Amino acid sequence: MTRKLTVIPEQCSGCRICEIVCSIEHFGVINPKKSAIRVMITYPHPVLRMPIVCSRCKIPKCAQVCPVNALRRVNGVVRLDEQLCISCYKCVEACPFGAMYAHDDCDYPIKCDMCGGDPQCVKNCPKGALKLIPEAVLGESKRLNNVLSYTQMKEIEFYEMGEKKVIQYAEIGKEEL
Amino acid sequence: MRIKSGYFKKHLHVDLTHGTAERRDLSENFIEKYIGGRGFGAKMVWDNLKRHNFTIDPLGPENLLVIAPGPLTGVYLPSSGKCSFIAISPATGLYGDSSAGGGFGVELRQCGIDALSIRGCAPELSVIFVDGGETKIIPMPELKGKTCLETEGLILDKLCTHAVHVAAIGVAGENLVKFACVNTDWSRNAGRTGIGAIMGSKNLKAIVVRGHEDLPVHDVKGQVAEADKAFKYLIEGYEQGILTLADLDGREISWGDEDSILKLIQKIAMRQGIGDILAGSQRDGRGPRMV
Repeated sequence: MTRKLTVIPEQCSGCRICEIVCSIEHFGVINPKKSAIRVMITYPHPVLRMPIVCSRCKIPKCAQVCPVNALRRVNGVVRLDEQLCISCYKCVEACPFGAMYAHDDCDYPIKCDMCGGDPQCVKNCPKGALKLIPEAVLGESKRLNNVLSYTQMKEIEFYEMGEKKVIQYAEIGKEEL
Repeated sequence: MRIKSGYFKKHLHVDLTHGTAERRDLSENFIEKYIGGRGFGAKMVWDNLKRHNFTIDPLGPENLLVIAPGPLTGVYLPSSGKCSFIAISPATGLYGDSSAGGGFGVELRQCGIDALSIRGCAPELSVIFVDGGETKIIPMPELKGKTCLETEGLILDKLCTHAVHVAAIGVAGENLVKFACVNTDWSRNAGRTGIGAIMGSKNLKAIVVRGHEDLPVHDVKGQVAEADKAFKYLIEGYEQGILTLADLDGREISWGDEDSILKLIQKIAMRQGIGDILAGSQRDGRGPRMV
């Protein structure tokens, strides 16, 4: 079963422990700039904390633009073959999420490899903002929310041809439940 | 020498009057004696005070402002993200320090320095930009009269990046209000002792940092394990027979036993059984020292 690394931005506190454990796991140093995950924080309007993670795209843009075919999808994870990589950083520019990174000290782009199926960031996130869930249940919470919103139907009254009518509607997409 | 790692052994000294910045070495003796953060700051401020015959105008150019994160700032340990701002306080005329959380201290360390000291007074409103190994003093008179958040936003726009951390003062700091704050990372403040007024007196609107260096840690994997030792003395005490099963309310506890540790945390919060003892402070009679 393919599992996807997903983010719940509402849960993220912006502590950046994921960045630290990622750099420890992959480079053996503490350096948030050498991690394959970044927490972007915007302030003051709106206040958002969003960890940027590799989405494991099935049609990966990073692999498409690679001129030497160094990025290949193996067992659902796009891996970087450092033997072939020429460090042109086209992949870093091509990723639609900006989830690949470059660092002065590193010869190759920094790419999430899912830590061999057991990501350290998911294990260490103290708030549970990072989750590894099966692809089949993606969007489940949104679906459920939208269905439940029908229990709180809103009404508008209107007149048509002098006759009073009522329309009921649900506010889909507004997760106020 | 006992200190193996944890320091870059460098500090950056910026003179705003002459527009110079230089990296100076910190001696091992100094590091061992004063550890970091407030320790470094207090010593540097004291030395500066002695050099000026103990007469320093807190809002004059001779007052030294030291910004120092500690040796643990930014590593995988709880509550380690602090950064101290130390100077002679304009509010009291005495030693003053204030600290702010957030990412500013971590980013400052990643520039490869253990402390940043600033003296002098810039000819016009300026911003210090520590960009890894190089330091620039950029005049930005257009920031005059802007609030902290506006300043931070304008600086990010001007430098065209979001990957920097900013410590800025607002209007109060510019107008030398004696208890003005420094605002770092949008919402983290070094609020006490009027450090903002000192930055204002130096015509320094903001300090911007961006660094990429590895944080020096002697044993990276070891310190991660160290972080989990909150209940060390309790578990160790039980394993060595100092504590009995009755002391722990009949619940065994051992390393890696997540379930019973979580139960224990709950007991501390509810002040039940041994939790009541653990909830006390070390100082009063009912603290863990009794155990």
